[in-house]
Amino acid sequence: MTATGSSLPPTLTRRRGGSLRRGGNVPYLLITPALIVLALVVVWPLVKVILLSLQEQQSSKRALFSNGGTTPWVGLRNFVDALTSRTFWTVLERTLIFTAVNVALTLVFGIAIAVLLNRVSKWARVILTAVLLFVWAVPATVSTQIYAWLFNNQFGVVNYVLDKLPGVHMQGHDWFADPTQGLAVITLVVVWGAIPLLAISLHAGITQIPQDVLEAARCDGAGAWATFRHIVLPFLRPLLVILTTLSVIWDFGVFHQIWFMRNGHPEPGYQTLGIFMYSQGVSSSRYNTGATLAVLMILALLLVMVVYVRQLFKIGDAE
Amino acid sequence: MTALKEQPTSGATSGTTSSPAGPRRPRNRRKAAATGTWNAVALFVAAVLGFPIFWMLITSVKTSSDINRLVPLFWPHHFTWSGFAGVLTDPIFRDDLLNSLVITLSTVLISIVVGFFGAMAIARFRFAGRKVFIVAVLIVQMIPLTALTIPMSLLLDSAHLKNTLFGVIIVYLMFTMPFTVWTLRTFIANIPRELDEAALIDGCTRWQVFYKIILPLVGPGLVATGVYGWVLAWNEFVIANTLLLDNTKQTLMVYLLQFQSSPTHGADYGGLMAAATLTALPVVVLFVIFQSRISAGLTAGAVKG
Repeated sequence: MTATGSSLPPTLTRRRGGSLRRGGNVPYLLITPALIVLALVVVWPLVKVILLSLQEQQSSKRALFSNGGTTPWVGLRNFVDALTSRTFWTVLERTLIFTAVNVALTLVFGIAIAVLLNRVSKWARVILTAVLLFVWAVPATVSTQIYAWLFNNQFGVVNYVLDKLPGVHMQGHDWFADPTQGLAVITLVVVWGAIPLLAISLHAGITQIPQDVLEAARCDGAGAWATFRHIVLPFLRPLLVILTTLSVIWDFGVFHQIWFMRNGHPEPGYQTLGIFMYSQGVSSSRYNTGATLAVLMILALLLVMVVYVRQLFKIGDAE
Repeated sequence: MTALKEQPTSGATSGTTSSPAGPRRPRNRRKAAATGTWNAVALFVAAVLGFPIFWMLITSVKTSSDINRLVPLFWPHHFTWSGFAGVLTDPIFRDDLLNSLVITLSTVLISIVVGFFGAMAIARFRFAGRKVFIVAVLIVQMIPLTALTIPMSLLLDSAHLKNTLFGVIIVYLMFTMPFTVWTLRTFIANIPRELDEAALIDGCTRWQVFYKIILPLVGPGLVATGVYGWVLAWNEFVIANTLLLDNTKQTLMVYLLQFQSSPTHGADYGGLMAAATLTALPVVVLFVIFQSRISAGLTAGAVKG
């Protein structure tokens, strides 16, 4: 079985019904409103953020006063400043580790639950899918506050349950005193919120695998793991590439979960790139420093975006 | 192999079913026992994943003496609606609820109209620059909104649109519109092109093809896309927090953060969970109503809440 686009999930296949029409001016008229919106809310701010990153960062008070307006051009000095500051590299390292851990956990649990959905009776699948949809519907801001309450040091149910385990003393334990533990709790929030998308779409992908292929593997004596490793995984590969790149982009720019968990004032140990940029650029009105960080962030993600777009084109979804 | 049982086996698989009936039986029984185990695992997973939501709901109806206990109550002694009453009678909550509704509805409507035309163009026509347009749409969808907060804020300020709902609606189009174009494109592309060609041959004008053929068929897609767009706009916090400065102009997400960090409500987890429940409610209700369409089209746009 060649795991190519021939039998992908319905949403990922392209209906082949003749070639596209040439429409003269019509397509251009159709995309004009979208282009105007894009120019207004994307191109203009993108140009502005690049310009800001090339202008001098003055004291934040003055910047606030002149509204970040027109300070002298300084070329790439802001970038040199950012890339030579130790804080930046600490923040970047933290962001990369956070992203790697979150993406890995999301993928592992997402795939596991997708396979599980495929293995259980219908009633169990309906129950689990319903729970997944509810989880998916809960805004990240809300889920963060639920977890803050679950992990509350005094009356939190997590400390209570863990304390019940033999030899564990968690009563009154403050999960957020140490940023590593705090970020672990935040990881839980992120992964919890991300599981439904992966589990449901991967489950849809698995159901598209032709049954005779699985049957053939079983006849050849392939065990559950071998079937998964050599048939299911290769088949899901295009979908997995897309979901992984999306997860990387989302987790790299994680904001709500950290911001809400720290009540809008994340301590230095909690700062990932998105948070660092926001607290530098917006909270302290250091627009130019913030803009520089934003440009660096977009550049870092551009690579991942290229993988994503290429994969979409490869499976014909973007043709 | 429940999936196999549910699917009507076609004639092509008859070759595989020719294995002797004898050894199949114990295997099926073992399979059934294994399915029982996996069902139990699935229920356990559902319970673990669902517990935070249960805990939010149960906390929101607990009395404060039932909340602040060293031994948590998994079922409250007394139910109370005072948490909800407190939030619902808060005039700031009402203002913010209205703002959230206005912003979300406008964003969804505008992006569906604008996005639909764009989606039509790339799903139905070949034109120079089509690929560039698609790539632009895909890339824009991926740019983290936080990265553009600073320039957006400065630009809106110079246009005197900061601290206005209109300004926020415009900014939200940045992430709802590309996403709408992309998702609707998938739905339109799934309508066979032969249909519009047949209609054209039968003498329909382009416009008639559009509203007599495509619009009715893409209806479910419009609903699903609208719900996704709603989720994205409703859940957004960073832009709202940066652009909307007055209490009376903020959205529910900003209200939620202020509720948590305000000294009067700080330890009031009952009230906070009630506010959180109310904030999540519109999205959850939409999900329950359009459940089947949403899970079917989930991969189409790949959105996260």
